[in-house]
Amino acid sequence: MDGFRTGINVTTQFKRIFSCAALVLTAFCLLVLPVWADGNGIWAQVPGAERLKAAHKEVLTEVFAKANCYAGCPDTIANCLKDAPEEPAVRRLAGFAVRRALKGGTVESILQDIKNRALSAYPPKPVKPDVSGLPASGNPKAKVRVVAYSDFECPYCNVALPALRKITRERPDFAVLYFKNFPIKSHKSSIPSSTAVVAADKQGKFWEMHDCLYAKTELAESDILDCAQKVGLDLKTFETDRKAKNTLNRIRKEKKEGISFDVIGTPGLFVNGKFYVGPKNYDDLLDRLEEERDIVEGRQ
Amino acid sequence: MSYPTGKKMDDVMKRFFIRIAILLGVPLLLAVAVNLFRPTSLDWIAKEAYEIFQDCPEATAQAEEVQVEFVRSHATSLLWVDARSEELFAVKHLPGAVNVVYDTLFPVAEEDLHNLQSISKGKTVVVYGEGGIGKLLADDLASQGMVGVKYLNPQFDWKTLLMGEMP
Amino acid sequence: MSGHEKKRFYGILTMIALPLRVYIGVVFVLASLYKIYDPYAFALSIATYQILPLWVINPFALLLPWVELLVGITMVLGYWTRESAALISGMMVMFLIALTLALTKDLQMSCGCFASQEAADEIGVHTIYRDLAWLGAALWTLIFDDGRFGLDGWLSYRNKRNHAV
Repeated sequence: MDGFRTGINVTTQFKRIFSCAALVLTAFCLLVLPVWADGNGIWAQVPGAERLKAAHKEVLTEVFAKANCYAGCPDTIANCLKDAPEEPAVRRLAGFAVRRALKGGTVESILQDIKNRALSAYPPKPVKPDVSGLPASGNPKAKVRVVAYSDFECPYCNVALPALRKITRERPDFAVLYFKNFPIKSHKSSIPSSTAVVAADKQGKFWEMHDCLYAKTELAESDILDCAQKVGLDLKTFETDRKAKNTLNRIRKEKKEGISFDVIGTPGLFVNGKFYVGPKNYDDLLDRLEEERDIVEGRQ
Repeated sequence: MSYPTGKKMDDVMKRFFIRIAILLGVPLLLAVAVNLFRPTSLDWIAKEAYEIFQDCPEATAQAEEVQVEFVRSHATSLLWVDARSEELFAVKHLPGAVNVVYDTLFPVAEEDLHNLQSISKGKTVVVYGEGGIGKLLADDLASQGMVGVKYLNPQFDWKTLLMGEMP
Repeated sequence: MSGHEKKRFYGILTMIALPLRVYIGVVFVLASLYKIYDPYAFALSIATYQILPLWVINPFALLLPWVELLVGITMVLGYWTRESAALISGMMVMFLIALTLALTKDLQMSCGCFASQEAADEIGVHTIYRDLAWLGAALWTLIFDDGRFGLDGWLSYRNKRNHAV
């Protein structure tokens, strides 16, 4: 205060304050900016990162530090994003984690999701479902083959199967889908729907019937008959085929095979014989199928 | 009654709605403030559809697995249930066993379930059968509301129990 | 009934409203706490009903628990009793409509196919009866409780006394 009162060295004091501030600011920039830029650098490599909020990034930073990449780079996701950002497996896994975070995932749940995904891509023992005689959606020669053990009344199947149908219809040479009946015992309309789809198959209209049944919100007998009509089946043959003994036998055989592969619920999805554990919406299924194609083609 | 007398009905109604507005407005402010400051805040408008579904389980309840030691120690209070086909049951089965055939597609018929429930009163139901169908049937029975159903560890060959010692 | 008897009859009705009012208030406060603690889980429950469009779900999940908490507290205290009871009745009607819609959709909620098992278990005929009972209690409070045995009564008593002085 003396300085102000006597009028001396006001500028000197300002200079001191100013230079101190400048020093602190420089130090701050030197220390913090690289960290900040580094963080930003990571996010630039992460697909979908622009949609993340600060809380999501906090969760993901912890996930990236804790989880290892299961392919492409033998390190944590965080380090892999730095060292091998061009690796498709790394980017794909990071993008998967982002989607889980956006769906409200916690650190623990996302870590578990990543474990499940690793197991889906590299399971200890893949199985070989028998698809002989089954109608294919997509090109049977496609490198990615999905076999779905599914039920018509199950709401999650009503998400997964239409999504898989969309993928295999849009890109038939990329992936092929086979459907196997796995009617859940506690569902009332499952077996009537399964017999309907098998009977439609006998008239070569399996997938049309399949799509129509999944588009229905209810599966009463009238809804099933409505589908049969819409699809253009011969209704008389349809009815006799539905009641035929071999119809039920085929469904039983398909479900038995599923049970022998440890399917305990629907939809049970196998991608090239590898049991899929994970979210069953369009984006995530497509992502998993593309990963499988990369594995088959030796890119992952 | 609690309202001061002599006031017009309009005023009473007005006060009523003002208070309602306050009772809704204060929570709105609280909600906005708390959501603003909590780290796991929710977007006011959801961008992603909620994942409301999960796999439909074939069995909504799980039966308990028991080992052969349990069977030995509870020999007198057991009711064996044979999950295999009628033909196989006719050839050979554990003494005192009841045959309830496991079917891949259909649950146990209501009638059979009631029968089983009435004969198993006071006993522990233990299901057996080849290739894991013991567990499958036991899970079905549990899902259909039977309490305390158990199944014999499928690793253990139930036929060894026929060799004389037990039960 | 003479005037005196009438008064006594209404007095009894009002007295019955007291435990009902406190009960409903406690139910609402308790129900709100978990929803406030975990709004995501509550939003997931709302989504499970598949009635509201996506953009309404989060505002609902964020706001409703706080309304429940505040109105629950005012019910217990007997403060602004009529208004609180009216709001609670409104909410119960809303819940009942949602439940009925979910039930008529014929969703098999108990089959274990839903991520939010609590929400799935909520949907059933027994819940409709429970909610109807709560609605009844709230309406009873709305009609018969003048807050005589609560803050409302105490405040108006004090007011009157002050005016008299």
